Amino acid sequence: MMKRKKLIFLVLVFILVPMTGLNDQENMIQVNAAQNEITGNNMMEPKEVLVIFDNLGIGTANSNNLNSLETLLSDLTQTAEITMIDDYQAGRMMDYQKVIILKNSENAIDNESFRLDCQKFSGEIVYIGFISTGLLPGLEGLSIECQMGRTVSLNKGEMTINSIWVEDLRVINQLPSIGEATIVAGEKRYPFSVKLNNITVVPTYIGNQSFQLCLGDLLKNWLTPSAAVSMLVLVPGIYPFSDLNQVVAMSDAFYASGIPFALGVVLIDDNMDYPAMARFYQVLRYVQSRNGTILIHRPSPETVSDSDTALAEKMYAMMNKMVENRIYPLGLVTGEDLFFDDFNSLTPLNAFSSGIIISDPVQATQIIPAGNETWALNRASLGIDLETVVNTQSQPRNFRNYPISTAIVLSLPKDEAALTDQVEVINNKWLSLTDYKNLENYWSIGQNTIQSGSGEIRLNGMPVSLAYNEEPVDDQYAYQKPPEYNLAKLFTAGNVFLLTVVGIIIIVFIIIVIFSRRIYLNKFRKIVDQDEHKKPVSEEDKPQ
Amino acid sequence: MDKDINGKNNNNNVIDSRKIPVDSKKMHEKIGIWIFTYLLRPSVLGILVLFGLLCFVLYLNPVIGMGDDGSTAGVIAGSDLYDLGELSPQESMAYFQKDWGIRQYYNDATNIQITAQTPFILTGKRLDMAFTWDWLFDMRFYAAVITIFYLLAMYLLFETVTYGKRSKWTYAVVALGVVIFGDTAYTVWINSFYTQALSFFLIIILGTSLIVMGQEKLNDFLLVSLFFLSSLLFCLLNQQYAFLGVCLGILGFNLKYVNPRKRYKDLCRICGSLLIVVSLAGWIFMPNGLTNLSKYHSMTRGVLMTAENPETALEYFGINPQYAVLTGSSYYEAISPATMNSSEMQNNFFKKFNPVSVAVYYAGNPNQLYSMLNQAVDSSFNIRPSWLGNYEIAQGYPPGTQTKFFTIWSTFKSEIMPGNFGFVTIWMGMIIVVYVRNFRTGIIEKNERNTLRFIGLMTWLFIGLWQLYFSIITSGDMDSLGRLFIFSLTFDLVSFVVLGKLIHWFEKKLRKVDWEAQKKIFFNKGNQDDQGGYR
Repeated sequence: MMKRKKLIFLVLVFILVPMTGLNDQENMIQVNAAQNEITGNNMMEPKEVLVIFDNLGIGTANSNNLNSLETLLSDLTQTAEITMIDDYQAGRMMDYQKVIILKNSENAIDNESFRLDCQKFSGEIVYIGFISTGLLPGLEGLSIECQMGRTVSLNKGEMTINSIWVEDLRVINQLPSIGEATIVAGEKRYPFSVKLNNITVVPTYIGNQSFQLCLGDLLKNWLTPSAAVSMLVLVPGIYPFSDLNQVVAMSDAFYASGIPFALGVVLIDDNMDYPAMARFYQVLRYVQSRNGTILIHRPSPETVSDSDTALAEKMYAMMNKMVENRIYPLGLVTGEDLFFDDFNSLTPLNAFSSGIIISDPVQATQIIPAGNETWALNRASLGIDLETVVNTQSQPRNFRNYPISTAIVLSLPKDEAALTDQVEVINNKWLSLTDYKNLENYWSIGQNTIQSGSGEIRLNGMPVSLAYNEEPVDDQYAYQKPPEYNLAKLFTAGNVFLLTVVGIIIIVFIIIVIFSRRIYLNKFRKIVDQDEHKKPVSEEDKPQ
Repeated sequence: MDKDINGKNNNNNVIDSRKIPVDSKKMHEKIGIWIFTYLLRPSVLGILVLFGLLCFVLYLNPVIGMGDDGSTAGVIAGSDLYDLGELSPQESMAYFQKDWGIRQYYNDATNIQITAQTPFILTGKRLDMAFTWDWLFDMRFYAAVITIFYLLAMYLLFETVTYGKRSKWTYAVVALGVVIFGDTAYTVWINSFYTQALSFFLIIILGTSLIVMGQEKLNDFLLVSLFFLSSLLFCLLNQQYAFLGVCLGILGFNLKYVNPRKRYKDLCRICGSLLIVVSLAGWIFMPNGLTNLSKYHSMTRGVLMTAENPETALEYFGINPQYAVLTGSSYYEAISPATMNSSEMQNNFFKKFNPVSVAVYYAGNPNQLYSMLNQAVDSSFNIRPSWLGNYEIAQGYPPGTQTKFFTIWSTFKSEIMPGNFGFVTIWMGMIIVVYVRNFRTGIIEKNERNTLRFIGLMTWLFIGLWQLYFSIITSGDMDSLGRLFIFSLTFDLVSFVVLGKLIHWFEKKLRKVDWEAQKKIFFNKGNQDDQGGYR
């Protein structure tokens, strides 16, 4: 008995000693702080959040629910593990403090161990979607009302988001308490969520931005109530071949109206020294001088075919080139597709501490993340459309922040009129926008370390100037590099072949010449011989 | 006995031997003679060797084939087949995939494409379903169908170069043919759904039928039908082959001068016009194979890559010069698919040019066209694209491994032969100079049949060059539709026929030399010298 205890103790020590080592390293290296902490946590304490869903709801209004929930959690800098109800194994829930159940359909639950665990679980549960009878005894008494095809508004405090279409609205027939988020359908007001003991029920959730913001409010109070929130402006998808004049015009207009903004730049690793690229850098420098911040897009996984090391090398080269050209990107713009990769392996993407998560232009098919674990940046903002902002009414003239950190995603205006419209909308809303530079950001790639905070950027600890001065672009750039001539290259295999062929032909020619001379001479010999025989005759004949 | 030599009764030999006790020595003799007359003819022997090679390479383990790059998806769907999805897109390029699923019920694919390949695949499918009932399509059944036609094509080819003779030199020529066209780099395409498998034998049949007709060795009706059938299938392989179909139709129409018989003339007229009509119909009704992918490459890996200044080239097409940053980039790696398919990219880039404007641009910049031709020739000499693997994933080779078994010719071609257009021009010049005399005399003597050998070779040359040029203006140096394969094939075909002719010519010259007399002269030279016969 004693032996076994000793053994267990020894094993525990063996497990824990490297852990403490890991923690020491964490303190030394600031990069990846968040990630490492979480991996550390996973092994030591009860894990934090488990998301359990029944199905992806493909083809229904709920098809984006899991995606948007994952995005929300990342936005709240919360990692989570994800599992499907069918894959759920008995007792798993007990390892977590908080559980989110996402029920996208009314289908009955077949997994008996899940049902039992739900009833036993004493931690906090957020239950989203269709309520399954007999799953949680605490929910039996709720009266749920179904309404088909309603336009509703969501209200929270002083803010109201209007005109949201809900196909299948389910609400709790109960008067909302004051200060709570509510769903307003026609004249009636219903609570967005109801808390019963350890269970919070959200009867209706569709993965659009309005619901996302409301659920974000709930989850933020649940997970990280003290974190500060901010609102940014982001113009994503800027390529070297985008309309650069429009970029300049836009930054001028935003600067004139005092709107701090961030520009999402897509990296292109080909031809980094072309004049076209130099012109692009020129424009980015100008944007920086106009109170714009440069963020970089996460390279699309589809374009990185080879491997993660190739990605890392490309990223090092591109980031170095940018810093060389006095462009200082501060964070990452990424789509939801990043959830589907093992983020920890994606060096150097995980070197960035902050970023903005935007929804993908093309809806990514939902995949359960690799390793069933989502990732989170140290600080992230949720991308929302300008339309959502326009649809939001706030009681005071001053537009307050949304409950969670957000970034208003604008498209690059096509012309002067579109630009004026955009600026007008933002100005009329009296938005309280934050400059990205004022937030704490940090990354380190290769030799470069960039930090920002309270309005200044530091490169390797030294503050940098963002003033713009025009640098000439080399118009006489030699695109076609002259081939390097040397003897080794001159005699390539192909040329050797040609030389051999020519050599053989020459030899054949010489042989023919020699032979033909002999044949030619032989011919003469025969003629001579004949002549010698004939001549005497003919000579004899002639005089006669 | 004499009849047996002709082989007409050879099937009865076995039966006879059961009924009547025949002298076993006689039987041996009979079989020996039969083998000698039929199996040991140079062309048949060559076919047998090729058959053995193919069996070993394509059908027996380890099965060798071509990885799938996704360009054949339409044809696969059109034949009620589907990808089992066992490999990721990258893996299916790097590894050969033998088994495909057969759609049992309703075909709901949206990208259905029906081409000349479809009947061949369907035949393979029937064969498969006759042998197995697992609703899995083993590609080897399709390969078997292709193999039959391939062997037929090779038989015709061997006949053209051996002139039906059997002597040592014909065996040498056939051996050369086996080395060139039995090369695994060529035959491996048979185990794939690419158009290459079909165009491989169609082009051989198409040219050889003309040449054999010129040699008057087989029935004209048979040959002309072979010619039309193969041209028809060839021009229905792909929408862009329609132009070639029209040219072949005109050529076929003019074949009526070869034989004075009225029926033959009618056949040529009807089939020739039919071919033209079908090609035009194919051009209108078949889906356009030109995707954004090839369009993108025709600009970035063609015009921009060879331009002195990519920005001025872009200005020529009215595109924002900033697109110069994409110079030399490939479709898959430069920009994310979402941006590539965006309306912005569509309006500002893709809509500004098409193959015709690219062709016009090249006409104004012949230097660029020349350097593109050089690159295209060079890459066509690698008969297998380097990114497609040959082995199945289960065989455990690293991704993208290509087999080295029996690849003497393709290795020689890709590594030693000078892959530039100058070399090809010299080669073409030589061939035309050698053969044009034939053509000229044929025309002068009003003997159209004698011109056919030249016309056959020129048809090959023309098809090859057209494909080379077309691949440049439609997809830069990143050919994805097997056009460069056709150039490479026609280059080899013409070279092979010319080499065969050369060997034949040498043999004839050497045979005429009276070696004994030469010897005598050589040894008597000393004695004759003192006669001092020259003046």
